[in-house]
Amino acid sequence: MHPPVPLDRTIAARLHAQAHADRWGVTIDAFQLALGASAARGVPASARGPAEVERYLGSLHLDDLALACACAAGQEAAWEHFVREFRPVLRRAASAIDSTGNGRELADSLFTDLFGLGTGSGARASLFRYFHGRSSLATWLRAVLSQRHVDRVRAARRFAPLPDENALPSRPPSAQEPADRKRFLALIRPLLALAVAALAARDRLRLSSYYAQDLTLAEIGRLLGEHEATVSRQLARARRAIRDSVERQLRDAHGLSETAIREGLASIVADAGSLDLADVLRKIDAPERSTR
Amino acid sequence: MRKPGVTDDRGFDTLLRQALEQAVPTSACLDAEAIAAWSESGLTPEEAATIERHLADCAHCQSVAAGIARSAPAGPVVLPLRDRRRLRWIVPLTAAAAAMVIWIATDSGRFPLREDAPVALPPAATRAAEPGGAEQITRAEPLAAEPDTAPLAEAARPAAPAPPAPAAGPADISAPEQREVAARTSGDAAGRMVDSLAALEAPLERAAAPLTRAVVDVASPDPSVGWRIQPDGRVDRTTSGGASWTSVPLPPGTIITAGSAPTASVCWLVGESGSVFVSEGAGLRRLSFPESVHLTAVTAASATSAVVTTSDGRMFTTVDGGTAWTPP
Repeated sequence: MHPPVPLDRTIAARLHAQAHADRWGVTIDAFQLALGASAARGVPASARGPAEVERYLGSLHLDDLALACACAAGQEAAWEHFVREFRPVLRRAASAIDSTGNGRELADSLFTDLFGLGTGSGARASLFRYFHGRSSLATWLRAVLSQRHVDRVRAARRFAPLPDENALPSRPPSAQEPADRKRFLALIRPLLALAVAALAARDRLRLSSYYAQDLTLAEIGRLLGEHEATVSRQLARARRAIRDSVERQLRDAHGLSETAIREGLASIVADAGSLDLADVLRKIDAPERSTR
Repeated sequence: MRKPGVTDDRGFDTLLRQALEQAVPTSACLDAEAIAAWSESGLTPEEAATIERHLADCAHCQSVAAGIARSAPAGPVVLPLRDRRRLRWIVPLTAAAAAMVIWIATDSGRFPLREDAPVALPPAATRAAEPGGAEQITRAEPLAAEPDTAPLAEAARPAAPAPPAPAAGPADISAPEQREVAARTSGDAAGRMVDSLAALEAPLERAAAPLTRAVVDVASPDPSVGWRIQPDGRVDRTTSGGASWTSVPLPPGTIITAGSAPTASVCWLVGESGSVFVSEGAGLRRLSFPESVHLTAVTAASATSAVVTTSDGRMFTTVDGGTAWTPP
């Protein structure tokens, strides 16, 4: 936890008035503390000059920060407002994030933690203390919902029962995989990882949003501030660049023919096997130079 | 260059998906607020670049960002100003491109694939590249939504009243997504041509829009006091009838599109990403708005009452200075 940045009380009072924080019963002192805590997180220690801190504070969602301060302190009027304005947003967002039908439960559990009943010791420890006004409250809530959903899914995966050993495997064990495909996978995976790593961060993020996160073009566009058609074009361009790079390496460095590459890729459709990341990284470090 | 086939394309996509799902971060994961602020374009360029670098390599944070994207209210994509500036060269081509497309369509009855014309393809796992041109990737999935009518768990909110929440509508599919669905299901060349035309024109219109935006004058009842909104979204204020102007300090990245001044000391300003401000004298106060959408108009009656219009035509009203907004 960073100690709050000390602020001039005049500035705090001005921002307090701008935020209309007094309507929720938030004192200037309390708001000053919240502003200082926000600046401690948002302004790097190396750049904490008065001008930079003031610029940062001016960019905050002050109304939302005041509301969060009041809710964290258990102010009745603030909570009434929060429930009225944000509960529908929260539930709709939770339903969109959790498509398994548990969205309502996800939203309600977040409400519980926002209210601060989760400590068990009687002391309030509202989740609102993690909101510093850098984004709007509505988007922060959606981010927290999403984070919790991701954590739940990951935890569920960790505790998922192992498959029944008596059940037939859905695919033959790797030892029985056709030797050609096994070799092809061993060749192409490190090349693919290298080609992806060579892309610009935004290209990687766009590709991951599409392939790994299954977002639609419109959703990716909203996230990256790009038009849907731009997303489409850029995805196609990056994918083509990766494929060209990988195929060139397979041809030039490993001597594979066009037919062998096409057949190797076609064999993946039936079963791509499981990806051993450590194995891929090892091959990147010590590239195998075998030829066909 | 050989012609790619359906099967090997699918195989390549499968491997690419696997590779991308294994993203391993090289720095500590981001907190929710950082990702939220990034998604609202509310960070400095340096901060945004740092976060984008992490997101590119962290499957966990990507999933969080994906949740933000999935749960965002449907609305048009608003390009950041820097992107719109970059697209200025497109504007003179708009008329020529449209004329060429119409000529091709009417003259030959055929519509050849274009380098920049999106073509509806199957989802990632089953798509095939089009021969002779840059393949375009499309996918459409409706956003999930469920009615929001049950009361909040009382443990979470013991004292507050629980007014009925507005019911969520059916699954909402944006216009571009409908275009994708239509193109994919129709499967005929004419349907694809119409889709391609629409998709081609959309970014051109969007790119052209800011270039035609003039300085917007926001007059107040006092002839000597007024505001003006620059084409790039900055705001100036005058107290000398326009003889001199002072820049209104806005948070970085804010782009204002419209204003309304009910008195000489109060001016409501609205803009992109749900930005709502009230300029009171030389000061500026940011108000919260329930959605991060593009706001196109505002009509204010006082420092506390105003009606704000979103780019999709909805009107939100406040009578308490932005504390609460009544949706349409």
